[in-house]
Amino acid sequence: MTHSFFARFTRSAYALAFLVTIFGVVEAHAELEIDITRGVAEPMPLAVTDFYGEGQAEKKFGANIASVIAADLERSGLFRPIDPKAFIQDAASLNVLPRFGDWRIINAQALVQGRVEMTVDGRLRVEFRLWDVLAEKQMVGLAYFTIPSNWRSVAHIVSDAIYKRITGESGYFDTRIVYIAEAGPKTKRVKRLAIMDQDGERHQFLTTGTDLVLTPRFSPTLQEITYLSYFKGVPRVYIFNIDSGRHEILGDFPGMTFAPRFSPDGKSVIFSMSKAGNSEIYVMDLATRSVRQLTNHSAIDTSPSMSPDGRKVVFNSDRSGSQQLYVMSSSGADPTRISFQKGRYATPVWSPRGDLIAFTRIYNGEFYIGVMRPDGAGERLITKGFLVEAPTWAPNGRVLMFFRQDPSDQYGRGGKTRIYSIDITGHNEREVITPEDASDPAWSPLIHNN
Amino acid sequence: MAYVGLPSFHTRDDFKDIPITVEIVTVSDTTNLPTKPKKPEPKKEEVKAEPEPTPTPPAPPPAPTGSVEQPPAPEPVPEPVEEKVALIVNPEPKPKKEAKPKPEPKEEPKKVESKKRAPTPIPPRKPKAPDQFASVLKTLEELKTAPREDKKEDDKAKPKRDFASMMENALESDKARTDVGPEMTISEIDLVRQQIQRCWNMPAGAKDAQTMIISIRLAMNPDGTVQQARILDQARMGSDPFYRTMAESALRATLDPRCQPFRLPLEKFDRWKNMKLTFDPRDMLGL
Repeated sequence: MTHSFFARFTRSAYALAFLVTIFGVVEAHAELEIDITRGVAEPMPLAVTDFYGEGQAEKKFGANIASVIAADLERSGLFRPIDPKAFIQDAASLNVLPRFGDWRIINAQALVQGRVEMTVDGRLRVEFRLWDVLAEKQMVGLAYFTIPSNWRSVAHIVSDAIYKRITGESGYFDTRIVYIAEAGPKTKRVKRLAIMDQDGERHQFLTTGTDLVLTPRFSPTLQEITYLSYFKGVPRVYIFNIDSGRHEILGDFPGMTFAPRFSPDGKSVIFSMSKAGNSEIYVMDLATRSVRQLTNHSAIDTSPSMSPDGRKVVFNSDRSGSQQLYVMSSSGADPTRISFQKGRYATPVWSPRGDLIAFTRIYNGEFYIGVMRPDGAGERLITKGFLVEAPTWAPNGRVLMFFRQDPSDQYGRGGKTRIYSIDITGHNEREVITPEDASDPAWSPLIHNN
Repeated sequence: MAYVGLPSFHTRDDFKDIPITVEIVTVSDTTNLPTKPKKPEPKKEEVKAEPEPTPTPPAPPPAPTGSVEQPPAPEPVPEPVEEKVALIVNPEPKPKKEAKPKPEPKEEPKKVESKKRAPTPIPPRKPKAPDQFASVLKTLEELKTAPREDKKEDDKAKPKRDFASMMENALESDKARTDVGPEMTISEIDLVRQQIQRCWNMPAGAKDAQTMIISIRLAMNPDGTVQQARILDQARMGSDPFYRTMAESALRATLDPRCQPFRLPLEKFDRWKNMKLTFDPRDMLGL
């Protein structure tokens, strides 16, 4: 026994000594390791310089383009353009090569530089480079040709390229918003379909206001809009092609047709239709015009929105007693409830990125806009108000727009209604400037597939 | 008395635990450094020379400012493309790896002044109260009732430093050294961590941000500035734009002149001349 004791003891001692040696070595050799688990989420300071141009006209375009880019990036909340007054290096020498030290001093982490030229045939050539100031290297550099009147689109396309290179996600600046413009007294409200760039520029009205229009939605693939209009008192779903200017009836349905939305491939439209007081969800193939019924329940099923892969549909239903969100397969099978908090849920919209569903929640007399994962987890309410509703996603799934209506006073005055954008993190809520009251925004896909 | 043997069982059992216990200890014997400013400790009245700003790290080698002298050689001129919205990606200039952000000694006083002071022991960012760090994703408090997803899965993904990998490291190590002097203390490491964290501007809303853990290897200059920084997972940098975004944000944190030089004790240079930083955003995302 004593023998075995000593044997064990020495064995352990050797092993121990061995380990100590090993760890001693590891410890000694190891570089210093530090875990960084905290950070900040602040806009990235960047410098957007006026694009260089030789002639007066080119200089003007260069300055305008730079200011649109700076405004785009600033509005995203992810970038903080530095005041050009702080710039040290001038445009001409910058056109040769950036002096990174000059930009580090003013704390720029990225530098946008460009050049505008008029070609002999009267077109505009716009080139830009994005530099990483700290790493002192070019991150991306691209050139575009366009007709001069299109300079604004090019500026947005450049903004998208910068956004994409820095954030890893595609941008959303080269997009438009269609919405319902509202004017006149409550009793005689005129509602028109209107469209504008995502920054509020190039605004125009698409309908005259004689017929009531509701719920415009963009096709995810084309510059097409579905909307609901009352023609001679009958609600119908129309398709409007922006480029051709044509309005087309999607179909004549018995009963009331609501909440039309395109499928992610743009080939079908999903909507709800109410017959004899009960609303169900249908999908129509746009090529064949064949209609398929997806739900069949005595409760009200409405507001469908498809997942980006087209496999699932989120919708709302009061089948459990109160209005909640459900996800089912696109064939209509396996409806599963995903919302469980207090209050009612409405207008679910699946993010084009696929990772979140945005919704409106009504609780205790207040409205909230929120997001949750498709399985219902991780619900976050990102804004609230007297009335906030109708979230719509930017094509990159990073930003939401919605409308906010203020309460009106006892005489029916006030009640200002405006469109706002907000980052999905819940920060950076901003009004989108419109000429009159605005509701029901819908965000387009990227216009130029850049 | 006949049970002399008993202890032997114990030693055997204990034996298993030993390595783990040993391994964790990176705290040095000299915990409190006289030279280093303490943690956010509320300043008492007995104002000693303590809160004196040793911080003023005067950046010994005033590196040549301006990178103008860098050879403009590989000037990548984007070749014009055809019609309308044609685009071309340029061949990027060769990444100059050793981009050294030099602590510009002649930075303009006004702005830099405040920045310089930033790394003092007291977390200076007023707006970022500690609890705000909990998550960069906002949710309105009143109704914050949603069940959080548990983090079990994530934990699996966490880089572990288990026994096996320690052994592996040890055996692989070819430049094992034992003469690097006194160890870094926790408070010294914390100080650097805080410096870097202030400059890590992470992409909060990026998709799957929680799955991205970035490792960066640093070669340091004795003055506490970064000589070279390299993202370790270059393969994923090239294939996953979200990862690249997260990695670049981490890289910027290490190169940002506002957060340099790192406050590291010169006498322990051998300890920190090579560093590996692991950026893990999960806490920030509340996951």
